[in-house]
Amino acid sequence: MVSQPDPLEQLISAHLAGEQVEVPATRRAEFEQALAAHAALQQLLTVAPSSYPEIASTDPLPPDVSARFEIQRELGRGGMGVVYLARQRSLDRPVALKVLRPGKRELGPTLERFREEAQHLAHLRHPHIVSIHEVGDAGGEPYFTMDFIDGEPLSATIARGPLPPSRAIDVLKQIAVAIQHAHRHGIIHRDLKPGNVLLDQSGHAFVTDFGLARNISRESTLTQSGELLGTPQYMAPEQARGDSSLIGESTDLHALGLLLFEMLTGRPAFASSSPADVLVKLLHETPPSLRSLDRRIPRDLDTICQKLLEKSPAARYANVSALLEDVRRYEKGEPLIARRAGSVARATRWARRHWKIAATALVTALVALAIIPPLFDRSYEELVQWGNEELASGHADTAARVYDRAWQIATQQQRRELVGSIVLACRDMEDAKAAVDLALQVFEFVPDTSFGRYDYLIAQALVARQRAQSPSGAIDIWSDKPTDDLQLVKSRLELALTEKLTPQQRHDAQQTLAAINMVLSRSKPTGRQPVPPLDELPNGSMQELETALQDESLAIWSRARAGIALGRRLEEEHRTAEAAAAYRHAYDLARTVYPVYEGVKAAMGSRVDRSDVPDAGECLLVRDLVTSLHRLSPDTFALPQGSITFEVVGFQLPPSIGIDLSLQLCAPDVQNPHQELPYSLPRLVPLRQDIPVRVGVLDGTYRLECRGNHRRADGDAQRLSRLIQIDLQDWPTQIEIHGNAVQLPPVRLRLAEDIPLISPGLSTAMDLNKDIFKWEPIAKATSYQVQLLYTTETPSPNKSYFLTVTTDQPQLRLADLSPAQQDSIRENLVAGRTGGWHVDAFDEANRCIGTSLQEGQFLVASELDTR
Amino acid sequence: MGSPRLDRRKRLEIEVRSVGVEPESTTKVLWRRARDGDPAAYEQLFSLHVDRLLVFVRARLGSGLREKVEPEDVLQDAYVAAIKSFASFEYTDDGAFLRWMCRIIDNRLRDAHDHFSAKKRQEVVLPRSAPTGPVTALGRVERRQEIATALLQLSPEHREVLLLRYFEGMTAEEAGQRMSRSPGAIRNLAARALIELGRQLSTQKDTN
Repeated sequence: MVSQPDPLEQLISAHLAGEQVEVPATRRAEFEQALAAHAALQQLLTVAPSSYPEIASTDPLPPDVSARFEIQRELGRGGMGVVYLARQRSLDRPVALKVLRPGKRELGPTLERFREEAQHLAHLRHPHIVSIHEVGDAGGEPYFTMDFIDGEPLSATIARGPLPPSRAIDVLKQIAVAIQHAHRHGIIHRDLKPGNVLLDQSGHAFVTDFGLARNISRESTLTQSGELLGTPQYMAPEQARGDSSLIGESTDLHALGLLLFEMLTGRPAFASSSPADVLVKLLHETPPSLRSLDRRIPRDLDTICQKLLEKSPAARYANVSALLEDVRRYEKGEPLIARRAGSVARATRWARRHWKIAATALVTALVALAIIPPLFDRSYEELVQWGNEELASGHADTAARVYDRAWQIATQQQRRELVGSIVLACRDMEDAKAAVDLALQVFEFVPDTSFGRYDYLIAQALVARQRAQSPSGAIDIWSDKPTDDLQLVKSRLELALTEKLTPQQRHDAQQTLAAINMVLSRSKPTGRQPVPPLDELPNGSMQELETALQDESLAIWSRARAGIALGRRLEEEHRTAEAAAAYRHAYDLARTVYPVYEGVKAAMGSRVDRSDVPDAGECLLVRDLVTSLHRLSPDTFALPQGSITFEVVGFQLPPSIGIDLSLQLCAPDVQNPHQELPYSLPRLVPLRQDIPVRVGVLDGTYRLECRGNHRRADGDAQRLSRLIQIDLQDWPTQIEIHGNAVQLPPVRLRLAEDIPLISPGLSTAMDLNKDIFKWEPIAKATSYQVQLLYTTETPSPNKSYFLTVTTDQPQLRLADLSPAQQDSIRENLVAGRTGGWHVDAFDEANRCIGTSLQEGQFLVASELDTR
Repeated sequence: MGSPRLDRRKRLEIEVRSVGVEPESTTKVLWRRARDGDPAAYEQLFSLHVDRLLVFVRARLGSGLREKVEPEDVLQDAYVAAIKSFASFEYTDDGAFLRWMCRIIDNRLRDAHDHFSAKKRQEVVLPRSAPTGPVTALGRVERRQEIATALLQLSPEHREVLLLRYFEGMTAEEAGQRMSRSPGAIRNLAARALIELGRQLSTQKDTN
């Protein structure tokens, strides 16, 4: 393989290494060409040290702006644009000039709306509002000019420490009157935060970026969600939930509460390193009391702040005027309008949330069976009235059945009227599965309405639906697109998180929410954890390597690597005999866990032409080791010749599908050759049908294990490839290699049948006590194995297989299983989880002859009861 | 029934090279700003390199994967991945960012699995580099295309050695480990590849 290097190559590499070389005239042209190529590559890769023109070109100032304004300096920049201090030539006054530069993303129609909005805002004049002078457009890039405030943002002031209460109230009042003015003009700020309040030298406060964020941000839930979700710190709960119908004056009041909190304490009310955490806190946690952070803060200020930060918009001050009134009372020492939420109020709040848990359970089951026949000959009106009566007398489940029937025959208009009653019925229903099924039919009419204690199940049912649509069967942060549906699931989950949940349920929901947030945002985790490669040699002193080689607590493979490293070092110092001993020790160790020197490939994904790629690094390391040993002691150590070979017969693989055998060889007394290693040593052998497969194996006696197979397929072949079975029944479990090629029986490829799953259907809500798993029977099958699993997001999809059940019937009822199996089901299939299942069929010879390509998914609506 | 797939996570190694004291370069300024949390600077840093990275991606994909994977997708993926691990990037010299990005791309391509089946990818809008001025920019773009085309004409191993040595900034030893060759063999291979590349480039010039 190694060809004699062309002298020209040596000349070039010597030249590039900085040596003086003589190039024969005959080769000079080629030499120059190569150097030109070198220079071209260098030049391509070199970024000019001062490429400001390149930077500037991404930030050009619109030319006619430059004609009318003299740019003096940059004041700041953010995701949406750059703000400059400029002098308006015509009036000779300083202005702040903001060029919208939406991060090079296309704004499209938003631009038009932005202009309209900005022109509208230009009419907003108030001593505490930064006025917009003019809105313009230069070369497609909108800009506007506004008052230049010579000062700093409130965020900068706060960064130096909390403000004294009197100063905080002073600033709050100025901001509040500005907001009040805007509200009177029908404008909601929506993005009020310390960064949007400017304080000038004399302490005057100015509110800026008024309403501008609105149009942009509405569009942004899709295009810029990363940024929006990245900083939910200053959102109101209704904003975080995306509940646009609730956004209004009270949204700004919440923001004022956050401002007050931060001014008084120097820290945000809802602080956390992760945006998802902030969101959860914002939605579900009461901020700490101001006085718990600083006893010097007056109690009444705490009350005002709490009132502003109420989760429900309706519970906050009715408007800014009411806030200003309480601020006035505070300053005069009069009693506030906002009473503190005392213990009585808290108890009421608690009771409101939980009383239904103790609700009655007696009536419904008896009635339910009897009512089905008369449902079908009633008119819509009769049904609704009947349902109302049942609901009024406390028979929610019966009412639900009646309403359900009414819903089927209702017009769209009638449905809109009926949905309220159905929600009420759902909340009180006893039958969880029925409640969820009903709620799923109607909830789109009332996307934000709570179904009480079933909110969790409903949210998880929607999650299950999403999972059923995803190729990975989970909320797949890499492949899923941010859809409106996902947004809906998100708000339902957030709603559900306000309910009383078990820690397990809360955990699941939060993980799913985190995954959804990642789909909705643009930032994805890389999923790359640095794991030291197993084919690298350890560093360290010779002493350390020697110690590692001898250390029996280490993985055998790690010791072998230490031995190889030690051998190399000794060899460098020409201590040949010692080097040979170290290699020999390494060889004896490596042989017991990884006696493969050829033919095993690294796991490299779904390429089908894998058999051409180099051997796995570990394999090469072994080959390198024996080569070194042979070099140092040619008389006593021969290069290995041994191998196992086999043919692949049977089902002809189409070119789009490749298949690997996972082959494990180790010394008979070694239980697990991968023990203590961060991941398993490579053991995939690509199967080829054109020539016999050969795997080079060192001499010795080994346990031979095949741990299944690994399929590689393109696109649509992916599903089909799961049907391919490899028959290895007649392979030996132990082999001996002594410099020879051991011929193994042929590997037979075979296609199994697809087992269609009958019920439950995809993402159905399931009552584990009653519902039965069913699938199509397979001819000649003597047994079926049902694997049960559930899906979680952590945040990447994770499927946990927890139970395999064997049965000879093409169906399974969980309630018939053994107590131990039922315990496992109760533990893993908890209410709200997305369960999954698939089935394999086996014949008499215990060969897999059928497998379900589709993975069944269902929502656990009712857990398995304890017997 | 498939055995769990085990990814080989190759460590990202950043080569440390010492440099003399110089006035701060654009790359360094942008890196510092980006490190301090300025997203605009990160975008500028990226856009400064995007064309060069595209050359790398095209060449790295070679002809095998090309039909299945769009270079833009690879770039998007690396862009997002790099944002996430930006904290681990150390500025050592002006070429460091490019080498770092190339290695990320290389790593991601090697254990890509199905990340790059184009239909699944979520759209990420990449910052683009804009040509500076009419003359210089045009020249530069043409030159890049020339080199990209020439790289694709090379044999896979010639291309590989140039990508590893020049784009990823590997030493002959590192490249040798990757390509299962001795460092000396790598140097000769690289020289041979340069000869071929030079030939391709001059052929292009002639045909133009």
